Amino acid sequence: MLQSPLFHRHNCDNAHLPGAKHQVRALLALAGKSPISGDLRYGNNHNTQFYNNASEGGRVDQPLLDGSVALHARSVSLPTVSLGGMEFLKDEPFVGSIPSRWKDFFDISEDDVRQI
Amino acid sequence: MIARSPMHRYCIYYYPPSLFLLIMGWFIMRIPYQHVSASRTHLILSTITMPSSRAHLLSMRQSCFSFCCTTSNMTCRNMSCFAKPNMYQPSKRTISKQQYSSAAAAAAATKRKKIPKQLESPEVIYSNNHLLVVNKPAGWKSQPGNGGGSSSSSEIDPKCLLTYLKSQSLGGGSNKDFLIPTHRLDQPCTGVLIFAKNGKAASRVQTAWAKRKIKKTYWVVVEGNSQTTSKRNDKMNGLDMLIKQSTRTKAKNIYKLSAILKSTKGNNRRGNRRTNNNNAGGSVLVKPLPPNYFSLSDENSKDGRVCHIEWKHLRALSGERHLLSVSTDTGKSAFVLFCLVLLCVQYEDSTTWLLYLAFIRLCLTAFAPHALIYVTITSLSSS
Repeated sequence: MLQSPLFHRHNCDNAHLPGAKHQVRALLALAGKSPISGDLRYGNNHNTQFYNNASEGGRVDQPLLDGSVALHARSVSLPTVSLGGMEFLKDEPFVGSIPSRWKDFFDISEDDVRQI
Repeated sequence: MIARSPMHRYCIYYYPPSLFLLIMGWFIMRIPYQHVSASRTHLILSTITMPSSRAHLLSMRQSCFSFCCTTSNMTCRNMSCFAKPNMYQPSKRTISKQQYSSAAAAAAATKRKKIPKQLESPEVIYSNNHLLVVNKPAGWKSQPGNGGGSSSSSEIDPKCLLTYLKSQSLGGGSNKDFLIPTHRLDQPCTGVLIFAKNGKAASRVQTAWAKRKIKKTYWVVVEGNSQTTSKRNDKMNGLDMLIKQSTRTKAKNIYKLSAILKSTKGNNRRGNRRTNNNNAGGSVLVKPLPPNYFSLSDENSKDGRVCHIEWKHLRALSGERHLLSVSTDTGKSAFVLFCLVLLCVQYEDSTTWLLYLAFIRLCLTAFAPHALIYVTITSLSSS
């Protein structure tokens, strides 16, 4: 049998690791250096390990008034889920309107973005 | 010790020129990758989203760019842990009315002390006998406990959305309190959250999550840098750091950002605080990858997991803020699509090695990531 060390498939066990926690938040803030508004956890301090110039990029100094992070799960679509009487799932996503408080924070409301 | 087979000769350990071939193969692999990923996104965009002409109109009107993006989001592979029922079943215990009243009293007490205003009540987007879809306002926890997935905390959390929805009789079953969360959102974040009202629906949705068949799009508001270095004064002003770190895909205005993510949760539990210094309190360690990075696989390594997000600029807001649409990326099914697109697009002017390439891509999806190297070597050396 071929027992090459190149075949390590079964060592790559990905089913038992925890989820990619804070994936979007961490990637945008630390890799892209454009943190999400209100995200003091990742946006307040730059990861100086990889960047020499820490002053570059965006920065979050103030939390949003309600302590939220401006990350909104806009739509979720379940095209493969088949349930009785729910045939619309195939092509219609569930869309959640953006928080009403974004009007105060960013001057953007659902009416502005509905067409996008 | 190890049985030798004829194929084994081509293995890197035994065949010195194979190292050269491997490097060559890697370079060849890199070139069409951008084409392919871009075409893939195009394809998906054309099938899923609305026509972009409307967005063009909008952009003309408001002199800022807005766009629709619903990229295929096969959520990160590790979300598959949600599919494990033992980890994600809510507590089955029924809560008596006394407990409820005491909990309400406790909640009122804590609210008086800590939270000046009440949490916004969630808006129900859809509900039938299978699913309950709510729009989670900020501040609610999507599950009991501290986000660790354990639902065994003895006290009832007043900020837990699951408990609240059950108490509002929005669940399924005879008691209207049977609800199973199928995914979660961070506490300060908002958006669509899907609950299942019976076991069948729960298992189907969770399977779809595990297979990364669910498309999820986030909208985020990011802070651009104020002192921008780019000369041109355009709509993306202030996002040049983000653009610099990202790979431009061929699809219009969609960028891809890659990094290696490593959760430091386990370290923290053991009292290892070393990672916190690098990371400003976040529990995720990020190692950015350069633009145009091509990974052989999205598998986990010891350093963490290669993660990609695709982002698209929707609109410039006041200040240096920008509204982006973000989706997490690339499941295996997307790779198969890569191959098909490659075959379709480049078949006419392609030579046989392009077909080879497609075949190799297919192999990547079908077999172990390391098999890719092997196939490259064997195919090149045999031709």
